[in-house]
Amino acid sequence: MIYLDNSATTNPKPHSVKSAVNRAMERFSFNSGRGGYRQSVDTAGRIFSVRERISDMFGFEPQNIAFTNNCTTALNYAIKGSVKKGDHVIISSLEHNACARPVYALAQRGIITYDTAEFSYDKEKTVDNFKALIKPQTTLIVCMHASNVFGCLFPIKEIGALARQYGIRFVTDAAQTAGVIPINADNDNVDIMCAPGHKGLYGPMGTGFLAVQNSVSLRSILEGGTGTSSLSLEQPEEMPESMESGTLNNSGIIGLGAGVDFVSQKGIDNIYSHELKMVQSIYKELEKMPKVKLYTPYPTKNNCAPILSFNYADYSSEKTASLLAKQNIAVRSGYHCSMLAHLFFSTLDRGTVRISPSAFTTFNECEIFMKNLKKL
Amino acid sequence: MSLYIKVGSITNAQRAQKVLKKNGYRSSVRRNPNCGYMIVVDSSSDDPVNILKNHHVEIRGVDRS
Repeated sequence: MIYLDNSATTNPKPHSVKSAVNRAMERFSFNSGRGGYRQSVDTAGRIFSVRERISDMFGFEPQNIAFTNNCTTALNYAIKGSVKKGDHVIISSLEHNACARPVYALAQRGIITYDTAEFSYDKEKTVDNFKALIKPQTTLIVCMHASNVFGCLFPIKEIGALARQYGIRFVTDAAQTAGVIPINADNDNVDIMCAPGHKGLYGPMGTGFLAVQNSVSLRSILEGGTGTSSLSLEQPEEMPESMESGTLNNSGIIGLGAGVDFVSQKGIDNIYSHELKMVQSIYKELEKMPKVKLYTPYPTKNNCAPILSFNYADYSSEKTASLLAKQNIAVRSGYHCSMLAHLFFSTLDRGTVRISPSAFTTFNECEIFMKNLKKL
Repeated sequence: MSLYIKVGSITNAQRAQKVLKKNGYRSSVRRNPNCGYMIVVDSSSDDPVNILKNHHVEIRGVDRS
């Protein structure tokens, strides 16, 4: 099988991740943060070491990294834990439903109002578009680092600086870039980062995290047992326990730690270069095919994550993907849980065919993909 | 003298243990009630407590024996 749907989840996972998960199931199936016996404390130590490795990669303090079951949950915590009635929120015009739906739901309930800032390949223009929407009531800007459909890269450092200038909280959705494109909490002016564990960090599915700066106070969305202050009905306010009610996914988190190690050893810059070369080689071939419609400029380090959308002839995206699937090539068709992105690129009529490589994708696989596409 | 430094969450306990280790103190984490975890460390003074305070580790109480 040739797998080019790594934006959904990376596959295969490194052997080290599989081993770590299996080992964790055998050795660390104890409830961390609850018991005083050695195995429980040792398990907690393993969990903490994963926080430290994520901290090393992204620059947030280890105790400010809360594990979630995916990026969507982290975004819901970040958005709903930040706003109050009457607030105004700005999101981008390419947001995934993981951001757009919580914001829309809050607006439907009369809690907030929101606006969408248009993406532009001119970074300054993008920042200006956000700036133009700021109101006195604006308390939150949520912006993806890269589009999950078209790969468009947002200038999060500059958007974060704009937010700081106006005293607005800045949340970035790093679903497509964590482990693929370098992100640093301080350098990129990020107040809250939401990320999946199972995509660019090569962890197991069912993992993700929410990372916050020291200055950020988040209201809890999910209350419950934390192993602390059990005689009080008040949810503890300190991170990460305030965001981690209930039993943690130990084996998933420990597997994620192995995934983070894998990425660190490979080097994020090396992974980005490798994946971008794959996308560039495919783009060059697609450009030569009169029947192919491309929507984005030639991919470079400055303008996109390694994700590419296209359509073939007058086929629906589903038909193209189905024909490729018959040749054992996995690509993603349709709307990619992002109505806003398809609205922006005027692809609501048929969606797009999306390809996304991983650190394991080879040039040979890209060539086989192209050969099969040309046979359609 | 043993200090029983009550730090609340296991995450705080892990942090506290690492901070103390860097400062030359061996400690252990134990379950603990203005419940959670405590750090047990042998010291003739309150230095470990002050070190943790300087590293912004939340301390909810200290028992000495």
